[in-house]
Parts: sequence; structure tokens; C-alpha cells
Amino acid sequence: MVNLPLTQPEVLFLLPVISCLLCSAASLILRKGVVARALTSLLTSLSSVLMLVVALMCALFGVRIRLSIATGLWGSSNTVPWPLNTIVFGIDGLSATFVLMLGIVGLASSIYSLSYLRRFEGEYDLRFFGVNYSLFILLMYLVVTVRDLFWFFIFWELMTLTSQFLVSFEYRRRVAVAAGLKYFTLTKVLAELMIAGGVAVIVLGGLPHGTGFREVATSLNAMLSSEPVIAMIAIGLFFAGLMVKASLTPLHVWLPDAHPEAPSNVSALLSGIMIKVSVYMMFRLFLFFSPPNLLWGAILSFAGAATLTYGTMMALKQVDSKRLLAYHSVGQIGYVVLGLGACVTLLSMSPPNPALAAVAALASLYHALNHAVFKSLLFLNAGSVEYVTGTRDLNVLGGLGKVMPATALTALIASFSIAGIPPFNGFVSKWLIYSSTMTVRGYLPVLGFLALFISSVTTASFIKFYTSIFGKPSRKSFSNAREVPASMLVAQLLLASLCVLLGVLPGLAFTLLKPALVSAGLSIAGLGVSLTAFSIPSVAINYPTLIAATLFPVAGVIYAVLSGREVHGIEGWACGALRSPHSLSPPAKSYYEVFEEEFRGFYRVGEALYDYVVIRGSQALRAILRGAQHLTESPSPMSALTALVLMVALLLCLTLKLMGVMLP
Amino acid sequence: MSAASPLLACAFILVNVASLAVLALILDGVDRKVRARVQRRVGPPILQTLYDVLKLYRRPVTRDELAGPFHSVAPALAFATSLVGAAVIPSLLPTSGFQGDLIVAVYLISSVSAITSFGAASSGIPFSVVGGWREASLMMTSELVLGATVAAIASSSGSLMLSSLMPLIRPSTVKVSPIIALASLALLTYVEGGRLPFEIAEAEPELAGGVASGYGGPSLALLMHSLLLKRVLLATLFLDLLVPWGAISNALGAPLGLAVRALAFTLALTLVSLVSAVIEALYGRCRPGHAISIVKKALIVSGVALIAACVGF
Repeated sequence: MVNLPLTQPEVLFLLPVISCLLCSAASLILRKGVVARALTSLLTSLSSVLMLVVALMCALFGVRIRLSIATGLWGSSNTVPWPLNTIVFGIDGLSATFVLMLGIVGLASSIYSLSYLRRFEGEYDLRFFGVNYSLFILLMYLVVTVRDLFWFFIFWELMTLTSQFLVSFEYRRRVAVAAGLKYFTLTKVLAELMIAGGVAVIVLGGLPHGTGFREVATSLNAMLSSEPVIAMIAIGLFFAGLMVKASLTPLHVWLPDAHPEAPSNVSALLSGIMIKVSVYMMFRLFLFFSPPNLLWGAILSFAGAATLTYGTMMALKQVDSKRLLAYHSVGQIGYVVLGLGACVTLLSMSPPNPALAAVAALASLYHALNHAVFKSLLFLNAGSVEYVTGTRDLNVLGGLGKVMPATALTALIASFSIAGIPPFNGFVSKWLIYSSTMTVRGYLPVLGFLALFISSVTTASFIKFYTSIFGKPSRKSFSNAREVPASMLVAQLLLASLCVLLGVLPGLAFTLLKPALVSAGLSIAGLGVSLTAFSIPSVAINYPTLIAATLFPVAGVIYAVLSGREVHGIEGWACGALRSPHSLSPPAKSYYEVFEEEFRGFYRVGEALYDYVVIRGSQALRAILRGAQHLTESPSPMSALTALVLMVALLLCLTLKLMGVMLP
Repeated sequence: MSAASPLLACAFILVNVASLAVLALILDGVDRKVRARVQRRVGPPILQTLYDVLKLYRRPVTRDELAGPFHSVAPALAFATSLVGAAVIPSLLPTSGFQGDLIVAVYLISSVSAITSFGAASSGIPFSVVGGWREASLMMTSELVLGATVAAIASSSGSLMLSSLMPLIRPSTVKVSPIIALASLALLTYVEGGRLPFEIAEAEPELAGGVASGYGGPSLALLMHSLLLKRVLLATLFLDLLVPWGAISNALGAPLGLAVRALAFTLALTLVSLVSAVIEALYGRCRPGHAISIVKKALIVSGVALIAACVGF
């Protein structure tokens, strides 16, 4: 029950919720899939726009939202702080940042859905998709806005469930079902560690005033003073659960299977925003709930560096367009976590460096925002190509740049952005990561070096991605290929524009992210940011706007002058060989064979890691879950749902029982 | 010695950009002449590269019919990027009105390689595609060494601003890591300059020009010019960190100090080019795997610099 009358910010907060719920209900009722498709696209686009409004109101105008909803599940007694009684939502600067990302990616994906979902019509149930898609967006919104740990866990689990259904949406393809189950099993089982950590804090900390974030922070701080070992174990368990959803190495193994198998508009949401929901909670855990700690700073930094290295190096080998992107999601989340780790380290080192810590936190959030934009765009690009050609195999694709010029342009912008080519958005956030990690002593410069090296591997990987699809001739004829429908194009152009804007106007991004830094209590006084330049006094300075203002006009003028000249068309020359371009085109798998051979030691370790985590891990898991073995053998979503309900029920029983023991 | 007004600072930057753009072509002529003399050949005139490029600029534009759309855009974008690099990195004249950043400079230089690879791998000609892959492979391996070098420089100096890093070795605070980092940077200047035995992306006899084989006329001229300018930019960055150019111009006062600095810088660039040409004349081209393997081993040098910097040496 909501206290009436509602204030304007509270109404604002509820509007996306209502819109998503309406979409879900309508999808259930509607009989025709085609109407469900249109309605899903329309209402989720509307929800995303409303989320954007919420985020912008909070970020730009300082609106703070706090809404308490009485559930009435435990009577009306206010004397007993049962977490079930009330759900508290709130949007501070940090939540607003993640709502902003969700709004951007959700809007683009939803617009894209309008035409993209046509490919499933008649084959799959689009009503089922509509229900899950809108609930998935809603649950991500609730996860980043709820201010109660107990309800966070509930929404988190439901988010996992709906996303699993979306991953396995094409249930006639066994590989999609297998990927969905692998994702669900791994994230579900390891999320229990997070819940165990949370329950430990709730129970051992003795939370007489409920499980709100503020109370959790107070309790955790008290535990760190009185029982530091147990508190650290609790934080460790919580972090382990977050690691798996954020796909940090070595717990990333579900992601390269799950993200490619989902429909591309869902892949955009999974890679663009869902994996960052974990980063949101990492920010809360390490900057809000507990004081900065040198050990956790080191763990986060090394986990980030290991993830960015492993994910990107593995991406270099891929020849499936979406699998390549999925591995890059692993790699890029490593950059985000490295930024957070550097922030925690710089705050906890002796003497602390709060100015540079703020730069590191900004780098992390900025890169998260940038990654949300360019990675969702890349997944939409890959989806467009699959929509037109029916394949994701980079070995056979090619030559689509001429028939899909707008998609090719947006893919090029996204590739430049993720590669960090100045002045696109990826460059600016990577520059901030280097500036905050390299200019100090200790281990951070070594991790900064890895980040810089891996950035070039990312570039090489996207040379392969872009040129295999849009550049060199294909190895197979795609004579029916044409540009994608308008709605798919609009979504891609929207994200491509943001890639440029967030790169050339750093002040814009800083304005949007500043409230998050302030809410985390970080000092931003040492940052000199204007609309056109970034300056970290006596450390580094960058003029992205000036670079863009010089680079693009100069290149444009040169190209225009050349284009105005007489043009002679030539056919490719291959030492006089008269063959079709298709037979001469080298396959994508050959791109970096020499490089991969030179770095074979690294790849051997990677394969061993995969073997250890997946093969042995699943064997151990099977042994543990022998009683519920049918879960891993049956592809039925119902069994997964049953498992989830059982686990949530178990969690509830445990919490209530333990709280009953603690409370009078 | 600094440019007092923004207008003068812009003028200095324009002089730097124009000078480096011309010097890139002339120094390649010097290279070719020196290589020829070391190999007991007569060689082309020193201005031959300049003549070649000017002639190519006048030729009709050729377009690879089978290539993707970015193939024809890449040379213009690569050239524009190298010009922006020349504006950011201080060279003949100081650019204190515009403070460059080491990461920005390194990224702009690397972007020339990246854009060239994007363009070449978009070609319809298999040789060009393979050239693009090789350029990207060498870029990755070089960045392995460059990343450690940059991190060592930044960690030992506590800054990434070029004005704070010039020069890297100061008599007042002599440290081990900047010296090793400079040695590593010198190596990279050579490798990333696309010189033998690391010239695997163009590989004329093997790949018929590699990255350049899909281009003709002005596009080829732009591509060649970008790659040569990139080579000069690498040398410029190395010299900036090695020599106290500001002290030279300050000691003599304006305008004599500026003139001496510009002349000395040009001579230094020529010297780097001469030394590189002599080394280049002694080697043949490596296999791609061999080239990558050699560059990878240079990580030992930059890694030592990085570790030394991290512990405060």
C-alpha cells in the first residue's frame, strides 16, 4: 500500500513500473503475436523514456526520490521491522546513473524490437517474449532503485529468472536452451553466496530496524570493528555472488554462451546493462556499505585486470559475431571493475589520494555508461546482420558495407568507440582509467599497463569484426541482403550518436555522472571538467572536443576534395588470378593466427581455466545437486521456475527463522 | 620559452604540423639514400619521396570496386589523425598554450595504424587484407611494450602531461626507470616506424604493397604520407622525452632561441632517421611470427622499467 497522496517524484518513479506491468499484462491477454510485438515495443520504449526522465531529473535537477510501499504481508504492525512489510525505493546519484544506462539501452532495444521480432513470428510465442522482456526491464529498474537488501535479493532472483527465459527464448534450438540453463544454474547457485553474505550481515549484525541499506551499512561497519574476520567473510561471499553476474574471470564462463544465444535486442540488454547491475552493487558494497579497504581494493583491481585481459584475448579468437561481442563484454566489464578497484585502493592507501580516487570512480562509471552504449549498439549491429543474412559466422560474411551503409556506419562508430580511437567515447573513459592507475606507485601502474595493451587487442578484434562483415568480400553470396527496416536503423543511429556525443563532450557525461560521485562521498574538487576538456591538475589533460573539431573537418575536407576528382574503378588484383572475389577472400579465422600462435601459452592457460571452472565445476555441482539432478537434465523452464521458487522460499524461511531468534 | 598569446600558440602549432608533414617526406628520401649508400648503391635523390607523393596527388583517384566503403575513407582519416598528432606533440616550436598528454599522443599515433588496418582489411584485394592483419598484429605486440613503457614513465613522474615529462631524465632526480623506459621507447620508435626487419605490413615483394596495394593516386599518397608522418611522430615523442628543448630555447631567448630550437630539432630528427636507416640497411624482412616474437621479447626491457618505477626507482 502506497501512502497517498503521492508526491510528484514518487509518481515519476512509479510511471515506468506501471508501464512495464501494463505491457506484461497486455502481452498475456493478447491473442495475436503481431499485436504483442508492437505493444511490447511501444510500452517498453515508453517505460525506457520514463526511466530516462527519472534519471535526468535526478542527475540534472537534483531530484531525490524515496518511496515506501507497505506490502501488508505481515499485518499492519509497525513495531516489528519485518522486511516483508515494506519495500523502500530510492534514487540517489548512483542509482540515477544506472537508471540512465537502463533507459538508454532499453529505449534503443525496444525501438529495435518492433521490426526485429518479425523474424520470430509464427515460430515462437511473442506474447511469452513480451511478458518476460517487460518484466526483465522492470526488474532491472527495481534492482538498482530498491533500498532494502532483502528486496534487492528478491528482485535480483526474479531478474535472473526472466533473463534466463529470454536467453532460452528460441527453445527449439538446443544450444539456446543449454546456454540458458548453464547461465541460470551458474548464476543461481553462486548467487546463493551473495545471499549467504547478506544473510550473515542481517543476522549477525542484528538489524533491529530492518534491512534497509542504511541499516546494513551501520551493521556492517559495527561488525568490521567487533568481528572483522566474519565481516570480511560476509563481504567476500557477497562479492563472489556479484562476481558471477558481472562475469568476472574465472566466473565468466556462462556469458559467452548465454549472451549470443539470446535474441539480439535481449543481448543488448544483457551485455549493455544487466552485467552492470552487479557493478552497481559493488559500488554500494565497497563505497557505501563498508569503509574503503586496501585488501578489497587489490582484489577488485586484480579481478578487473585479469578479466579484461582474459576476456579480450579470448574475444580475439572468435569467429561468431555475437560470441566475439560477448567475450568483449567480459573484457570491458574488467575495465569498469579495475576503475572501481583503483578508486577503493587510492582511498585506502597511506596516505590516501582522494582526488585521484574520484577520477578512478568517474572512469569506472563513465566506462560503464560508454560500454552500455557501444556494446548494445554492437549487438544490434550483429542482430541486423543476422536478420538480413541469417548467419553470425564471420568466416562467410563480408561485403555488406555497400548494401547496408547505415548499419555499417554505426558499426564502424561502435567499433572505433570500443577500440578507444580518439575522440570517440571509449577513448575518454579509458584515458581516465590510465590517468588514475598509471600515475601512482605500487601495483596499479602494472594493471594500467595491461589495460593499455588490451585496448590494442580490442582494436584488432574489432578490425576483424567490422571488416569481416562490412569490408572484404564475403566467401558466400548474399545477393538478397538489404538495409534493415527503419525502426532497427533508428535504434542504431540513436546509440551511434551517443557514442560520438559522450566522446566529444566530456562535460555532458561529467554532469550526468557527478551526482553518483557526490553520493559516494568522493571529492570532485580536483577534477577540472568543462564541456570541452578534462583536466586532472598536474597529472593529465585531454581536449576531446578540440581533437574532434580538428580531426573530422580535416578528414572530411580531404575526402571531399578526393571524391570531387575523377574516379577510376579498379578490380582487385591478385597476381593475375582470375577468380571470383568470394573464393579469394581470406576467412576471419586466419586474421590473427600468427599472433595467437606467439601467445599460445596464454591461450593454453585460458583453456585450462575453462576446463577447471566449467568441466570440474559442473561435475562438483552435479555431485552436490544429485538430489535435484533433473534440473540440469530437463530443459523445461518450469523446472527452473520451481527451483527458483523453492530457493526463494528457503531463503525466506531461513531469514525469518533467524530474525525470530534474534528478535524478542 | 612559450607562446604568449593563443594566436601565437596556434601559429606555432601550425608551423609544427606543416614542418613535420614536409619533413616526413624529406626524411624518407634521406633514409632511402643512406640505405642505398650502405648497400653500395647510388639510390634515388633525397627529394624523390616528395616528388612521388606530389605526383600521386595529381593522379586520378582509383577506387577498389570490391572493397567496403571505409576502404576509400581510411587514407583521409589516417592522414587527418597523423596531422592532429603533429599538433598535439611539441616538436620544432613549443606548444605550451596547448598542453599535450602522453596517452593522447600515443593513442593518436596508434590510431594511424588502426585506421590503416581497418581500411586495408576492408579491401577487395587479398594481399591488402593480409597486410591489414599484419599491421594490426604488429600494433598489438608493440602496444604490449609501449603500454609498459608509458606506465613506467607515468609512474616514475607521477604525471602524463608532456610538459611535465619533458625531459624525462633530469640531473636533479636521476632514476633508473626513465632511462630504461627511454631505451624501450627508442626500440618502439624503430619497430612501429615500420622499418626492416619489422616492415611486414607492406612487404612489397611478398604482398605487393600489403596495406597499400588497394590504393592508387591521391589515396596512395595520403596513406604513404600518414605512415611516414607516424614514423616522424614517434621520433618526435622520443626526442621530446630525451632532450630538454625548453632549456635550449629559454637560454638563448626569443626569437633566436626558437630558431635554434627548431634547427636543432630538425637535425635531431634527421639523426634519428640516419641511425634507423643504417640499421635498416643491414636487415632483411622477418617472417611475421618472427617479428612478433622479437618485439614481444622487448617487454623484458619495458617490464624492468615498469617494475623499477612501481617501487620508486
